Amino acid sequence: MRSESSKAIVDVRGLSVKYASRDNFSVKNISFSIKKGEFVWLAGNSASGKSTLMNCLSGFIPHIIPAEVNGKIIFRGRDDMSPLQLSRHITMVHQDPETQFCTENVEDEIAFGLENRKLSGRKMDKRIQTTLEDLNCSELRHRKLHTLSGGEKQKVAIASMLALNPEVLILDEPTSNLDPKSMNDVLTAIENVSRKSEELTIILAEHRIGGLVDQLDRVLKLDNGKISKDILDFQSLNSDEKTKLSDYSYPDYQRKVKPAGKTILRLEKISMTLGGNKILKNISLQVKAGEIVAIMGRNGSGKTTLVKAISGLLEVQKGKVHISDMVMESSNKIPPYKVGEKIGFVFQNPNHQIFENTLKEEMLFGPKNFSKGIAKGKRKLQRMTSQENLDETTHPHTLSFGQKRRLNIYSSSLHDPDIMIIDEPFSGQDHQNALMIADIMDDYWKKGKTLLVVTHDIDFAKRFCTRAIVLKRGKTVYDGVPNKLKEVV
Amino acid sequence: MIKVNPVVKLFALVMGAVMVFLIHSMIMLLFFISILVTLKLIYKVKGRFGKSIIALVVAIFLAQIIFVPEGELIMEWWLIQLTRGSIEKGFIISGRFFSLITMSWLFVGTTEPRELSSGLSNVGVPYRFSFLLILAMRFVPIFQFELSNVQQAQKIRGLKVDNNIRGLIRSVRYTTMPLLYSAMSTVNTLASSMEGRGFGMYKKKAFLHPVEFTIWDAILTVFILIAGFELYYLSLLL
Amino acid sequence: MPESYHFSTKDLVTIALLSALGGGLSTYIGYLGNLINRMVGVPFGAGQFMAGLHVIWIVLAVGITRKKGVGTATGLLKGMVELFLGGTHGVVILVVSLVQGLLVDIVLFKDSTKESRNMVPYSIAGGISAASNVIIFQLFFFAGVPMILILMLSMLAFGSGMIFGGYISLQMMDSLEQGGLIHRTIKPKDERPAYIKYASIVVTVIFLIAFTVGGVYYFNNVYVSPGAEEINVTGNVNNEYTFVYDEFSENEVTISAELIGSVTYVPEQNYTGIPLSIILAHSEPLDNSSRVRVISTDGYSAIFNHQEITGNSVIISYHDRQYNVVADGFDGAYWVKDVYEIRVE
Repeated sequence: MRSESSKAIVDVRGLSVKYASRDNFSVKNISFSIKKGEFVWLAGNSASGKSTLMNCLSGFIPHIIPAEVNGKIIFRGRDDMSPLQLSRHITMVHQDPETQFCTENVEDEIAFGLENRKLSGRKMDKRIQTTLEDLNCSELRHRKLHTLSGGEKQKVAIASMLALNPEVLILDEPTSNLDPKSMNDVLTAIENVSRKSEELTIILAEHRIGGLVDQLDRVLKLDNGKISKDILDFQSLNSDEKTKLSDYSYPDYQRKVKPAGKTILRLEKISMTLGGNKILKNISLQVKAGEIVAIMGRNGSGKTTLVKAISGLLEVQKGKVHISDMVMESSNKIPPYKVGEKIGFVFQNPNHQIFENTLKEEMLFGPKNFSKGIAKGKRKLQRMTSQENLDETTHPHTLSFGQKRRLNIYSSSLHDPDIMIIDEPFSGQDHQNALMIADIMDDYWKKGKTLLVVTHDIDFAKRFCTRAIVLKRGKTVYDGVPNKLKEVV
Repeated sequence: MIKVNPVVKLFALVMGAVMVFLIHSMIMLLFFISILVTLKLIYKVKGRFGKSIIALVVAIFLAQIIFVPEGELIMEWWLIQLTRGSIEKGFIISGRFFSLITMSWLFVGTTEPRELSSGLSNVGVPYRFSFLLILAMRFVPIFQFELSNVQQAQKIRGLKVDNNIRGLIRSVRYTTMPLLYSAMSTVNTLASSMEGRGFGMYKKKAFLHPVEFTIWDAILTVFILIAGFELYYLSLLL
Repeated sequence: MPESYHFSTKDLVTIALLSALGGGLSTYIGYLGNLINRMVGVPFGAGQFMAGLHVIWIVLAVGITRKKGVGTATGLLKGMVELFLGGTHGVVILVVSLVQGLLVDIVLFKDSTKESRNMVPYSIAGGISAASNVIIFQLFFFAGVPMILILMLSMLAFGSGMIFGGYISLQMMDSLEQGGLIHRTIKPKDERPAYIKYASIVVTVIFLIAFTVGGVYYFNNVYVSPGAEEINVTGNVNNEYTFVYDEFSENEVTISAELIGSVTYVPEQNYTGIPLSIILAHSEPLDNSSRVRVISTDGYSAIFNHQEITGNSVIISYHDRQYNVVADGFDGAYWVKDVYEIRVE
């Protein structure tokens, strides 16, 4: 706990924000102030207005991201600072490090802000060193950004902001795309920073806060653009109340029946080499109809390569893939659209699989190509538009992240493939959306279909899946019931 | 090996390109090409004369043979006259192309975008502009990765690209749109991240690894100038 | 603290990302071009059908940022990216891409034009920009290739530029706007009526047809025999007059000459015409004149010194209603075709 007498550093008064492309206000007349040195957890689901609020605090809205803004944000007695002026005091780490890096090396990236501020070479050198030390990752200094893991990238993104010695550090869901270990790494790094500097004000938006639970000063929860909870003294809560706030568990789907379908998918000694690296080594496995297989492992363990080989998106180099009575091997290539009749595939990034300009066209893209499932697509479309208050002509890119994901899953499964492969269905999703997505997958499974889900989420694997396969450096290190996962991962 | 200032190299590249077009003599061109190829071997610069480059060289050569007959007639069949002049000209023009490609490889193979960027700032190009090269190069591999993802996503959802114009346009449409969306939805975050770190705060910025203009670079610049004129006069004589 | 810049950080980021996208996709576009060549069954050329795809990014950058100079900046940066990626054109791509960007900037110069997203100026910008690559390549590497071929390829590239750089990039911008990713300060007048949209398509198509027909017409008629009935002899002379062949026919001579041009070669053969020296003498050049410029109807000209044309080596022949220079012993460049004026200087 920091001293009660600290003065307010940021003062938000009657803030409302509306984007031109949306009908409703994203932030609705909110007021609060944050004290110097406070560690604030900004909670709330994806559409709650957290990102909008943080972009306003940094001055990016409306100076860079156009929006209609009412009310005031007072920082150091002024409410008219540009992002460049604010950058001397407030820095913000965005959700996806990939979209905020502007150089190719770790060192250059951290130096970027220091160079703009015209620091001397010696000062820059020292700042880079101490910042990396604060985050426990000095060894990354001379690496290329593209060789880093997701967690390392996020740490570098934080370092590039922290090196500027801000008074306020804003973090927008820094762990939402990470595997559990990387997530812990990043959270620990943040914890370190917060411990080291009593002066630094931290505003952290996050769904899961893990070990930070004992470090937070305050919780500010947004719901639908309004403050629904503001707990000034987080540490006064008992542990039950704390856990309740960061609850992220799935209901138990009670998978007890051992599925006894016939074998629908069989891999025979699959090996894959990409860019000179052996990604998959001699993998054999069988999947029976009606199974729900969680495919797990750390970033770079070969999960994505495996599912892409199964679906014919990457040509099988060694070994065979049998899908029902179809055989794929290097001497017998089958075009992916043929495989696509039997396997539906949902990619991780929703933006890479939206092709059309209206919700209707997008929903029917696959069915039209396969000449199958058009009527079903129209029914799904009607249900989605009425439930979520959308229009057939709505542009898919104006949908929320969660809606895009659901649209992806619907549109990839309308032609009724036997197997659905879903790559990281929950990355970047809040809990509410994650539950909805899980339900959609459950509905599809209930039709007797087989699911392969690439995921980091052990809790999900245990409660939702019937089987888990863990990969490590291209090899299967676990294949069995999800309940015993904890010991393996 | 001495590290040459990237701006001097850029100057050499431009000079070289101009030179190549002033050379009208076979011998001079061969001499020039042999220098370039030697440099390429010394610096172990990557660059392969793949199919498309060879196709272009051949196309350039054939264009001269077919369309520009001049000088002594060697052979003639049907509409095509094979003349001494056109063969020589074909060699010279395709040799020019070959030199330009080799030169470009030499430049690219020994220069990092970030070096060129800070070198350009050094000679007065505002850093907000010269930095764009680094920024653009950083996103190229990302877009290439996204390109393959998008194409896979099309295929698995049943898009067949027929071998006709309509199929091509469909392919182009469904490929470029998702990528354009991806690029444009990055703009705000990236601009925020850059301005949030003071991009444009001052007219000039500091460099962690400044690129120096050394005395060697000055000497080299003068040498390039002299070599250029020399080469030109030699080519007039020969 | 910072003054306001002409290009905001956001503009610069847009330029960089679209250049990266265009540069990164250039291999893919090249592949599509080759695919078309194979479909048509020619080794090269038909790929120009995809030329418009290369300018799409430049047009998009200009249309999205609506600032002067964005086209040139995007063109240059995209060229640099392609150079660094080791494209098949080497450093030439810098020139090609820079010119493409510059042309888009010029055609869409007015900021209100950029914002209007009107089909006609955008199509023209895309078309001209795309076609310029053919011209530049011809200048550098395909000198001497018949103009008709260059014109055909340019037309193909122009059409492609109209479709991709004009129509498709406008559609892309509309889609981006609907998707909430780009914004306009001036909203289009509520829902452009459909007929305006169709009218723009019709205008584009008419433009395309007119261009093609115009090109064909030019080559079939205008180009072959523009036909000047007479030559004006002007300049530093006492007697400016109009030269008509028949009036000088008693001076007709026949010489034998060989045409050695950079483009064409004609072996030695006989030509009949009026010596340039006689035509000149009739004009009574002033003492201070030293040379004579022979100008063609298309603006091309060649300069002879008085001393060079004393004898019968340079004559003006008249053939197919066209006056041509026959210059024995002179380079092909002196053989001016379709002479329209002789100016003493």
